Amino acid sequence: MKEWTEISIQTAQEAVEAVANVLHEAGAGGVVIEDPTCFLAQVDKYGVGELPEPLPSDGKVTVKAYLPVNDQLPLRLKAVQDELNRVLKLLSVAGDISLQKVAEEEWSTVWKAYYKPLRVGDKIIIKPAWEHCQTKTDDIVIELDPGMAFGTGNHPTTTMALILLQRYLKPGFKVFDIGTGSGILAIAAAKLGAQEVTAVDVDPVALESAWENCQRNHVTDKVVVLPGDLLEEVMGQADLVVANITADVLLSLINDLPTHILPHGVFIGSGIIEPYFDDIKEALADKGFKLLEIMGQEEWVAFAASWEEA
Amino acid sequence: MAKKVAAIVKLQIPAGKATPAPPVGPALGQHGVNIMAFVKEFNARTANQAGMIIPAEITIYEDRSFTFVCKTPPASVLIKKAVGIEKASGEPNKKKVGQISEAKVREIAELKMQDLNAANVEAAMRMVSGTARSMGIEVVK
Repeated sequence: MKEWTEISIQTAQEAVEAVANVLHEAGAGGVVIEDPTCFLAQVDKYGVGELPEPLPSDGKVTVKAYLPVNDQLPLRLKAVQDELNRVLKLLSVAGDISLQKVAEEEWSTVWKAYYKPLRVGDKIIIKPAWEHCQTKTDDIVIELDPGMAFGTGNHPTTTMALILLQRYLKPGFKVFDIGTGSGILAIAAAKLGAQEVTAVDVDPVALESAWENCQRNHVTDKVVVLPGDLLEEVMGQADLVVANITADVLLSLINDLPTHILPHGVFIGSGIIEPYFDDIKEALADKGFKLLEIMGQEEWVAFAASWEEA
Repeated sequence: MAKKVAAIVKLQIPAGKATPAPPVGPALGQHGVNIMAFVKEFNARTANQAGMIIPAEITIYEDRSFTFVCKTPPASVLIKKAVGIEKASGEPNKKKVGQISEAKVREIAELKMQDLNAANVEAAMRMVSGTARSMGIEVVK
């Protein structure tokens, strides 16, 4: 398991931006700001009864950043601490700097307690690997431990992709799942009767999670999990391509898709924030796709389209 | 009655490039939030602002669902942009790397007032000019 050093600076409100800047410039990759006044600002919006108690009240703000534990850490830490002290002195503001080691397991699994079995569409049940639930005989159960990969089944983008898969996938189909994450859509495709599924992702964490979940669901004879960027590594043409990514990545996928989809093949896209859907529609029309269905949930849009050639 | 709020977390992270690694992981993970759901949503919303650091304020509810709003870039980023520098001075006391006018400080303060939790524009201006000085940038009339 990976370890990180948490640098935590408790200081006054007015020094927050300066302290955050030191951490950004040290290459921390982002900062966390814990600011008790945020809660007070919410009182008007929600009413006190809906806020956690007791409300934090000391007025101090804590800025935190994380550096990975490795050989360079002692030097990096010293440089950051010197810089922080210099900035605090210049602003004549007090600040307590503290360091603490944190391990990934301390925060990466807390959400599991809130992850429960759920039904998606008519047939599919997503069941966390460590939970038990009652099912009907014709239910399709997907057992999942997404780990740190995307795709638990309860995000609107995944839910809509699963519903569209149930509507458009026919037994015997060859399927590509582009950006597979936890493998949830590839496994659903295999269990809905696809003959052959290729699941790709660029993220090694996702690939490991997808492979484990395929084994857990006994679909390794049908699903191939491959490292690769979009269509780079996939072979041949599919009857159905599914991708739950983001709008900008879908746009480049659509561009190359006609060489990897059969005539009248179905393309299911998800992960699009509503304002970007116009760009997607335009790109689809441009490449000879005809929209079959558009779905919306919260701010998200998903669609199914068939390729009718340009 | 609305859902009860469990926690509020503020992050400053690169647009379109959030990952489950720190700081996002520990900041949200300890509250039981599904980290990857936030990562996907943040990246989807900020993909068109690549290269910027974006503050996000995340409200986490008791059932561990969450909502978040993205804010204007941090004051330090706006200052650097206004002055035209990439990096702050390593020795802000001795080595000045640029100047910023009081009018520009006011402009940034007005833009950032809400995010900074400042009581009034003067307080916000003090924060912005303090941040500028800490970066080796002189505030001039």
